[in-house]
Amino acid sequence: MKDKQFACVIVVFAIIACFFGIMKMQSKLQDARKRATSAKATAENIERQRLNAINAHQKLQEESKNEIAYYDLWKPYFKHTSPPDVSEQMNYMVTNAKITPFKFRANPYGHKDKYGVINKVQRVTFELVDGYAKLFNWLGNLENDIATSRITSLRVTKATGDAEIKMEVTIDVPIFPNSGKTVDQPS
Amino acid sequence: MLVCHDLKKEMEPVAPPLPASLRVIPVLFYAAVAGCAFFAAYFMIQKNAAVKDRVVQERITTTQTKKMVQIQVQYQKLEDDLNRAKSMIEWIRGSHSLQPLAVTIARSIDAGSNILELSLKRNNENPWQTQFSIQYNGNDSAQMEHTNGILNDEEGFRSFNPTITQNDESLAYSATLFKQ
Repeated sequence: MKDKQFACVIVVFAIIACFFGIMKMQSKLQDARKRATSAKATAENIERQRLNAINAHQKLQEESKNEIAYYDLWKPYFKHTSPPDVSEQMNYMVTNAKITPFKFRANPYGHKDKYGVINKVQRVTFELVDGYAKLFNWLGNLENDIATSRITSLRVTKATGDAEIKMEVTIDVPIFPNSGKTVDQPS
Repeated sequence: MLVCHDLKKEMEPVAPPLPASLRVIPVLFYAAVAGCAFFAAYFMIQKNAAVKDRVVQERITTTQTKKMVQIQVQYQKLEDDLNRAKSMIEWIRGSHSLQPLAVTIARSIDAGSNILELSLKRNNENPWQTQFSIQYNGNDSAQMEHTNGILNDEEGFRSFNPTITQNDESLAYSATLFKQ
C-alpha cells in the first residue's frame, strides 16, 4: 500500500472516531435530558401532591370547624385528668359537703371508644347515707364541677335510721390522653 | 532579487498524487473535525443546561416534599384532633346530668306516695339512653303518666318501652328514657 493511501485509511479511521465520539456525546446529552425530564415530572408530581394535600387539609379544616371549636372549648375540662386526681377531687367534694361516705371505691377501667381516644375511665362508686337535699345538692355540684363526669348508675332507696335516703352512685370520668405536639403553619 | 525559493532545486515527486476518488477524504476529515468541534460544543452546552435544569427540579422536589410532609403532619394532627373532638362530643352527649332528672322524678310523685326505690342507669353501649325504674307505694298507675309528662316538658326526656308491675302495696315502673 502506498503511503498516501495508508494515510487515507488513518484519516478515515479518525473520521469514524470523530463520528463515534459525537454519537457518545449525543447519547450522554439524551441521558441528561431524560434525567432532567424525569426530575421535572417528579417535581410536578410532588407539587400536585402538595396542592392535593393543601386542599385536603383545607377541606378537613372546613368540615371539622364545629367539632374543633367544640374540642377547643372542652379541652380544658379534659386536660390533666389522671385517676388519682379524680378520686381526690370527688373525695374532697364529699368531705366538703360534710357527708361521710358509707362506702367508697375508685378504680380505673377500660373504656371502648369508637374513635379509640378515650380508652380508660376512672370509675368511682359511692354509697352515701344522709339527707335528701344534702345528697342531691352534692350530686348536682359534682356534675357541675366535674363537667366530664358521667353518672352511669344512680340508685336511691329509703335509708334505715335517722338518715332520709341511701344513695348508691357510680361515676365515670374519662382519662384523656395528652394531645400531640404543635406543628408550624405550612407555607 | 534573489530569494530563498530560488535557491531550492527542483525535487522529484516522492509519490504519485492520490486517485481522484480518494481526494475527498482529506476534505471529509476537515469537515469531520469542524463538525466534531461544533457538535461537541453544542452537546456540551445542552448537557450543562439539562444538568442545571435537573438540579433545579430536584431542589424544587426537595422543597415541595418538605412542605408536603409539613402539611401531612398538620393534616394528621387535625385528624387526630378531630377524632378527639368526636370522642369528646360523644362522651359529653352521653353524659347529660342525671341529678335534675332524679330530682324531677322525685318531685313529680304525689305527696301521698312514698318512693321506695329510684334507679337510673345508663346503657353502656348507648349512654344517651337511660334505664329508669321506680318503685313507690300506692297503686295509682296514672302517677307515672303524670311523671312522664313532666319529664317530657321540663327535662326533654321521652320514655319508651314502659313496664308497670303491680305488687301488693307498691307499684314498680320501668322505662327507657331518651333525651330529645
